[in-house]
Amino acid sequence: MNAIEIFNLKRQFKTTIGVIKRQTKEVVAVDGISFDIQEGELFGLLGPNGAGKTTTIKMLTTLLIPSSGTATIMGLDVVKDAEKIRPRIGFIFGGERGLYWRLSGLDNLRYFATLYYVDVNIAKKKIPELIELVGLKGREKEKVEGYSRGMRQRLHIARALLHDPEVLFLDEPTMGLDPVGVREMRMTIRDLQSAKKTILLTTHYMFEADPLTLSRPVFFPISILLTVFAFVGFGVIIASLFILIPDFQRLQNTLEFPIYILCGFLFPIALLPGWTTPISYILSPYWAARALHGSAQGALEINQIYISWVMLIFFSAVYIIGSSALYRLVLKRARVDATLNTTG
Amino acid sequence: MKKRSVTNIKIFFEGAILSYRALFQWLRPATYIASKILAPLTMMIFFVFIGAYASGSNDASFYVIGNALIFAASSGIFGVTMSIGGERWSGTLPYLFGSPANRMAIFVGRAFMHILDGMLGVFIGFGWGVLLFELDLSQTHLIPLLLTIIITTYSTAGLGLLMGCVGLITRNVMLVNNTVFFSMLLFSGANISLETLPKWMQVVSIFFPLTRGIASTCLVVAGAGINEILPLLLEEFLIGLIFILVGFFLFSTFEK
Repeated sequence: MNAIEIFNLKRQFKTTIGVIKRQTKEVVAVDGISFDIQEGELFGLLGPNGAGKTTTIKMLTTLLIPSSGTATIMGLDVVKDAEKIRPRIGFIFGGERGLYWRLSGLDNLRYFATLYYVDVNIAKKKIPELIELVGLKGREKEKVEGYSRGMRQRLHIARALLHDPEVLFLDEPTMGLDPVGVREMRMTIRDLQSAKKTILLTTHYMFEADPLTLSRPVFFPISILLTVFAFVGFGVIIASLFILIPDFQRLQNTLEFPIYILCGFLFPIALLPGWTTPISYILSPYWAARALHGSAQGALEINQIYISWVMLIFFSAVYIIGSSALYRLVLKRARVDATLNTTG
Repeated sequence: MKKRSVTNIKIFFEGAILSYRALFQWLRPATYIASKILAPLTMMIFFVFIGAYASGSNDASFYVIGNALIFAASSGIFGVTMSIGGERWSGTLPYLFGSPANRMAIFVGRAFMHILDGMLGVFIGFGWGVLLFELDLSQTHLIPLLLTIIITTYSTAGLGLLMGCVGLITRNVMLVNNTVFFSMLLFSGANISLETLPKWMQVVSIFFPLTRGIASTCLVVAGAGINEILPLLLEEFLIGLIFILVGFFLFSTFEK
């Protein structure tokens, strides 16, 4: 089922220019956008400043009435069913505002829990859990004005989760955060996605809009483990070549750097001549490098990383099985030679 | 349903206390004393002496009563406006509008602490009147006086709620507030007897809160009972209610 359905959504504003001779100008903030978001999906809305991301979020969170078009959240219309939608959604706007700075983080959460009709007993249990989830334990009784920007953003997340919403709207949640804060925020978003929340995220940054990036902490260690496997397979075939080819040591020194290049460890293979590509494709370290870069930099989509892993395992297995067969063949030949020598 | 009503009451009181704490906690004891005790005193001294000089009367009670109630208006208009405008300034307004909370409980809750604060201001004003200007309260009945103070503070807070809503769409609400506040000094009969005003000004004064509150307080201080002031109090209550309803209508309209 689709959690969010938007069809031809439009929003125009009227602005005035001049003091004495006032001219009214119509500005189109959102110009007929349409998309669907499935339940449990993390959907990134990417665009520069003024692209209409925040206006879209405001319309979806019932704060702004669309000029035309339709939008539904969990099957409810954002205009007609605004009151029914509000308890089912949570939202945060980027930046530090939106909290009562002279109150403690705990008081802020208590007040917003009341505003969302969260049962007192549930709130008593839920608020400490959320404080722990967003890493504010021990600081919750301090005034928000003493919090860092990252802490305020995390308090926003806790506030948005108080009533356990099904759909979350995060408008530039990493705005103004330092790299550590950004990483923590992404991990929190990833955890929310694991909890099957539907998330609509707006951002300026391509790497943030890519859901893969949010999942990077999981993909990267797996890619490292498989890289080890790829090199074991590659090592086995090299060892076999030592057995098969006399004086392979000299040949290895000659081949070492071309292989590094063909695997894409030193620079992207796209920079190499086209005829080298098939050679790269049969090298398991190439697939390892691809998976590592993809998961570390968010340069690949999830399915491309899966493909890299499968290819890496396949070629490593081929190397190991092939080397084993080759080794057995060489051993058999050696035995035959020995037998012939003995009988001869 | 019952549970929701209980939560609405909680939203009202919790919102009242927390928003007051959130937006007015800059009022340390020293600044609070200065704004609640010293500033009203200087204002009262100013108008009492000007009034006495202009009217040639030695009886300061009219000016003391008028200015004591003006303190309630000050709290009602400026406090409530800052309370609602403060939500816009702190960026919490979208989160309030985006919540399923009862709008009336949020809206009127913002005025509650300022009504209490305004009442305290009136008592302080009366205290100064008794101490410095020989205000005679020997004929005064306590209950009618309390009722008058409560209703007058409530009606001025009603105007404050309306001003607060104006603050949601204007950048400089304090300009509007100051205009309204100084108009009240003139039209409410706090410092100039309404009978001495031109006819058109007397008509305008009907539409302001506080006018009947001041008239009622003057009667109570002179020894009037509850029956004599009841029509005035009902009118004051009604005008306060009209301001609250108009304010709430604007609040709901601006939300859209």
